[in-house]
Amino acid sequence: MLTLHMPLLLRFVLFGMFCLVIGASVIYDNPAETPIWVVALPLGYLSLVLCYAIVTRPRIYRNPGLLIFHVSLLSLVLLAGFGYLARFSGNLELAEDESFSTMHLTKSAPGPLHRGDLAQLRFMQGPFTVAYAAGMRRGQTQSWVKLADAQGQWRWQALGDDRPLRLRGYRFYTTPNKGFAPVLTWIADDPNMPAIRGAMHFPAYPLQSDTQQQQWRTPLGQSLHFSLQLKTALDPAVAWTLQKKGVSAILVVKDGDRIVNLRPGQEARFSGGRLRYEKLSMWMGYEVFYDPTLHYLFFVSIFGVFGLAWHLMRKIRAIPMPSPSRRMSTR
Amino acid sequence: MMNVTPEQPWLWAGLFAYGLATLLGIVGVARGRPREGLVLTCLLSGVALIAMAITERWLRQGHGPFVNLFELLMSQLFSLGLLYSVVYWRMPVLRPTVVVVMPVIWILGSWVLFLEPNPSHLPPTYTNSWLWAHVGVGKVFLAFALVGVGVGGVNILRRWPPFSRWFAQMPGEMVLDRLAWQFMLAAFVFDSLMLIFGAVWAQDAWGRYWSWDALETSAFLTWLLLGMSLHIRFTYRVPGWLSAWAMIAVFVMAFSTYFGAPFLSPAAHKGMI
Repeated sequence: MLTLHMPLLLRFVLFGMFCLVIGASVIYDNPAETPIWVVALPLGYLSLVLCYAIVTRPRIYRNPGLLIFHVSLLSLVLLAGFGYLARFSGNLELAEDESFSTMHLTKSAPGPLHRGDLAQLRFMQGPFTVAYAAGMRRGQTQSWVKLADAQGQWRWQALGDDRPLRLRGYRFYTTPNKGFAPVLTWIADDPNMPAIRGAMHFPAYPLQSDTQQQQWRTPLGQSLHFSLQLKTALDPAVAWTLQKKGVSAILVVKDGDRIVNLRPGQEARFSGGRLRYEKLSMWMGYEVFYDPTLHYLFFVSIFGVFGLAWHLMRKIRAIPMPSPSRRMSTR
Repeated sequence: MMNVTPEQPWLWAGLFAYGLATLLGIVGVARGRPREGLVLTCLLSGVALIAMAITERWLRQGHGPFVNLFELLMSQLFSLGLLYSVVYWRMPVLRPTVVVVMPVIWILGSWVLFLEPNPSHLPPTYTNSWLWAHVGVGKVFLAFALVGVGVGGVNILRRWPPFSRWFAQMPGEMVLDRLAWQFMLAAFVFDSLMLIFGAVWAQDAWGRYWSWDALETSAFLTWLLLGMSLHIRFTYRVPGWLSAWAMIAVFVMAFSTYFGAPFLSPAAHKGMI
């Protein structure tokens, strides 16, 4: 087997690390617009060099600490690469009392090797609150969801900013994206057409509190414009809590030149049917993340640090430590 | 009229104690009559006074010193002072490094004096317990890197005639260089832990363990630079003064990661605000 002289091998290592420094500098603060190969390529190259070094360098394979550290590094790169291909990320909005389905996803990005069962997951959105400090600084989010247990019974679970819902490897994170959602029913004049009921998600609140507008097309193709006149406790100067309780909302429906104001429980007639404003609800935006390698990444990296620490301890013991008197001089 | 917050007098007193430790340390080493007991007493007094400043602010605001630059500098002044005091106490051979280490700590000390102690708001993702682990090992990393720089700095200083006499009692260049790199290796261990714990926190807080944001990338570049330096140092015979400059470069990178990246880039650690 071809064995490279150590300094030559080190030059290969340093070249790879230097390329990684360049790649990381290119991606610095701009990951969305930078192709991932700028770091993936140097990492792939370094993995090959590392693989070679582990197999051929006695300094590594005869030193347990260094061996553990370098094997862990190699495993980390491989795991991260596989995780990148097998992951799933997406966004969704869910109104209170709605059950999750993949239909709610507003954005999804499955990796080419993703084989999860997102469609099998079941949970229902409950109420939520978001605390704000004075000056509109967002505080804690508390979102309750209902989960079906093995016996088919529902149980509540509270989620928050750093407490995601974990289901079969998928993690659902609350986001700052949330708002109001009036629940509406469309009752067609044609008795053969079923009633349509759903929550209309208005723009994020309080971020877009001035533009609470939405559009909807009836089954007959008539376009209706909606705006929501909200009365909340929002006052940027004081602390407050965003929640459904205590909020009143008038739904203003514009049909051409005709304007109708609706309160919860009221309805109005439009061409081809009636629209009933059932109640005011709220929607919460979630981020979904799935990566089957997360736990392995953690344990492998901790194992690697353990190897490095072991190596450090051996090196410290090998140093002839000059030890003058421990007494403090106070002269 | 200037508004003085309750923690500021404690902070100023702590900085005064650090100043005294610096002065006594340098004069002692220069004259060959190190007043080590006094230096350590001043150091520990400074640590205790800055701890009081942090406690005062913590009780008033209801959260730890994690958010704005004033708080980060104050907490680093505490942790660097504390960990260096332990090294100063337990490793007598390294006590003359006070000449290098304390002026570096004083860069933070003079910086914090120019900052307004503005109140801060704890972002909702900062209540996670992994934050504590991440911040804790990060402080140990920076402290070990600082001691490494202190030892390496002695190797640079002693090349100049006025300083060579100051460090005559210390071991030779090669021994000091080896010692300095042990500290840098220890720093590498804690830097690695900082990245791992930070990734776990980021996964909980923002739904991803790594996203190449400014702060993450800067921390990764520091880790990479330190890894490169260790590879070079443990393979080649590098002159002591040159390897000391490599340590300084790593420390400068770490310093800019801590006190530059989070405040220069609005996108650093998305979701922080």
